[in-house]
Amino acid sequence: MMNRTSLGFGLLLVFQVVLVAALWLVDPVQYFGQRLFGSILAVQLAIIAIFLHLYLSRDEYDQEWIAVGLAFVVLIGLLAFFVVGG
Amino acid sequence: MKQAVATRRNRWHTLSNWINTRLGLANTILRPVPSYSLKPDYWLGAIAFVAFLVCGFTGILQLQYYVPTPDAAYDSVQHINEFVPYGNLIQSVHLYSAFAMIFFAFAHMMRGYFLSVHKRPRELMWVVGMVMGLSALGMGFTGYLLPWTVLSKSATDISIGFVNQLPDPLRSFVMFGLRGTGTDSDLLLRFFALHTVILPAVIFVLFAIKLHMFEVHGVAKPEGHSAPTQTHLIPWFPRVLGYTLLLASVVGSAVLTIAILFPTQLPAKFTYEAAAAATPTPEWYFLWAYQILKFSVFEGQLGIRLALLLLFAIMAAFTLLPFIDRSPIRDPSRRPVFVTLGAITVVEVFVLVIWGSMTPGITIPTVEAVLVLGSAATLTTGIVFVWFRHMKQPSEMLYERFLNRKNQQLVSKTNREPARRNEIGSRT
Repeated sequence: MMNRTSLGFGLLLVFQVVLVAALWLVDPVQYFGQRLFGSILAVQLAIIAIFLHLYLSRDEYDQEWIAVGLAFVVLIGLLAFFVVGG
Repeated sequence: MKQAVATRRNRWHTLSNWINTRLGLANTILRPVPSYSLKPDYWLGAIAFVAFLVCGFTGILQLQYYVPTPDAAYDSVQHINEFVPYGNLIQSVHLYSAFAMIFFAFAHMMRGYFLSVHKRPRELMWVVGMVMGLSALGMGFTGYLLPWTVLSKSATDISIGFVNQLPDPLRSFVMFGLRGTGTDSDLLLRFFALHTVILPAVIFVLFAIKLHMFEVHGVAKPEGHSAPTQTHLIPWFPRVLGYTLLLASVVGSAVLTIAILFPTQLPAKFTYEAAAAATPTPEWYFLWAYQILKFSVFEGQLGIRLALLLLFAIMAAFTLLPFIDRSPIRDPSRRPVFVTLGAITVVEVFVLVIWGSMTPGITIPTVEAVLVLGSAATLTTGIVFVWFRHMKQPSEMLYERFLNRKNQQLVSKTNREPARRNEIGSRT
């Protein structure tokens, strides 16, 4: 049975796959403004950092840093939506 | 299935062994590192170099469109900003990566200063690192002029005006290097060559030399820790690679976020009429020197010469630090004089940068300068004194507190586990 943490990070992984698909399979020049493109790249890098942190500290999760990383992802997402606007 | 996986692993090992036998990477730059070095402060120099590489990549993209002539430079930069796909984002990332490079290089230097990494046998590593840092500042100085805006050209003219006050033959030598025959085209072309070829080449060569010395001497062991043994070494793949990618991702994400929130905006094009009305200011990393040059005590030719001498003396003192601070003691808690001087330097730089940004173009009376800088220095000395007086070996105490907290968490977790098992057992 998958616990909630695994489910959360599974969803994050799916989100990342969707972002990657949007960035590299859909032509970004056609579909995104450059600031929105930049914000998606920033979210991408933040998610990669969270996964690397999870991998490196897999014996004992450092939950504070994971929370900071997730908050950063949400922050950039909100900024992209409300400030940058695409 | 298992056999197929084993075959793939064997192929991978054969390939990696083939490469390693030829290049010897596993014994040099890809060798295991001590466990204590997997902390962000050990990688500040690496982060600065990654930022430099991002600058290089985004700079090469801009080179496809940039025209280094006074008539066309501004228009070409504006063209990149407005019409080239992703031009503004690339330009913004270039700018903020350069800021990150200078910020992390400064942090790297100050960390090295406080932890005495400049001491035997790493004296030359320090000197090479300082020259790299000065080259990075040179890149910032030369790159600022390239868009040919009213602010950047006027600020460069003022800086060159200061250099023009140097005594001959130093003046002629430096002026010819920067300005050539004195025309605007010569000035821009020389700054362009310095920014895109000469200084990056210098940084790359110095990086190779520093990396070689790093391979010879290894990571500077923190004072008080035991020497790393085989069990404390961490393999480069996958842990060290993962850690460096983690840091690069965090910094890259932060730079991109700043770039999208505060995209570059081009000031007006340089004309002599526009320059007469503008108050030129340098970028933030030169504001400390700019503020010193605005002190009224440094007015007139003699004053400017003295100010330039002071700036040169500060740079020289930092570059030649290993030959000034010759004591073998590396523990910061046993070096009160140098720690106090370092703390004063950091505080004064911050004060001068903030003050410089608040008073553009305003001459600062000497009394005010002495009061502000003197108060900052006195306050810092007092805080460092109290710190030393009441906290023996401050860095170790903080580290111990952190370890104790972690241990308590582990102990409470271990204590909870049997109780939970008993609870589950009693339910069943």
